[in-house]
Amino acid sequence: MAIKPGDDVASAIIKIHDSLTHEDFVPKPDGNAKVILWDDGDGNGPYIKEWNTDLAKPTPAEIEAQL
Amino acid sequence: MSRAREFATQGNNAAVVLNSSAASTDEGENLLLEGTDSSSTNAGYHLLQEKYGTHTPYDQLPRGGGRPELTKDTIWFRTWMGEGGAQAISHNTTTVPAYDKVFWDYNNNANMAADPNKFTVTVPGIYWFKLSNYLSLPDSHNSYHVYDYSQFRKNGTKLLINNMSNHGYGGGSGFNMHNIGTINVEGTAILNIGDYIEPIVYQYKVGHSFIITTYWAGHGFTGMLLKRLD
Repeated sequence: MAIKPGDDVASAIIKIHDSLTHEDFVPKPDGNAKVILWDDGDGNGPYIKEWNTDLAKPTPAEIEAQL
Repeated sequence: MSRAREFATQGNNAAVVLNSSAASTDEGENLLLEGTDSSSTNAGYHLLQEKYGTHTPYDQLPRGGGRPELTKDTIWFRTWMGEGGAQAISHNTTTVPAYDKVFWDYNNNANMAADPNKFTVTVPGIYWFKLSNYLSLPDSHNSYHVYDYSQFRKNGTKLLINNMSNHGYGGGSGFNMHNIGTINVEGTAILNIGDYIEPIVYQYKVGHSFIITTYWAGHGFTGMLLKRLD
């Protein structure tokens, strides 16, 4: 199952790394922007644009498995 | 209307000629002065047109003076997704609006057909932009809508923003608080050649990961060059 627009990728990544919270995905200044998810509006859905943590960055396949 | 303008509208900017006379024998002949002073020193000379007198006609005013006319180089565009168009927005994800239609692009000066989600500056100047979208959610599920951002980015960095947030609710159940409706952000910016402007939106809610849907039946992405700076 490929990632598509509207998929909750943030929650899927939190399932992989339960030390992360949804607030870790919120852009600055409101959040700490540990992970920045981005959707280019081209139909391919969200992807990880910035990964600002020492945790292992999950692959698209690992994320898809948690959707 | 000026005297110069009155002559010009007759299509003869060099001289005034007769249309016809009693026997049509003088038709096309120049109208000549009989005498302009007591000694008639100018008798027999053509009437001369005053090109720029003290009464300057409207259409000879210099450009850029606030005239309510569109010039050929006007940059004025609007893009959107069409009436009823929709886009699924993922929770907690910065999203580029999927505009795919050019509502207008005056003389194609903005070249928005190349990418309706991105405006690249070809003329330095002061620009005005507006982003207007209608945000909706597909049902009234329990969740708490915390962050609601609409922004313009210049060269990938925040420029004009409309960031709204609630203090949020971190637990419990049975809460249903969603901000739905039209979200606008607009403003002016001084831009140089090569700068680019992109709209983005971002939504965040807790308690439920249901898809947020934005209906782009609103204004979409609008821009206009207000004043050239070159």
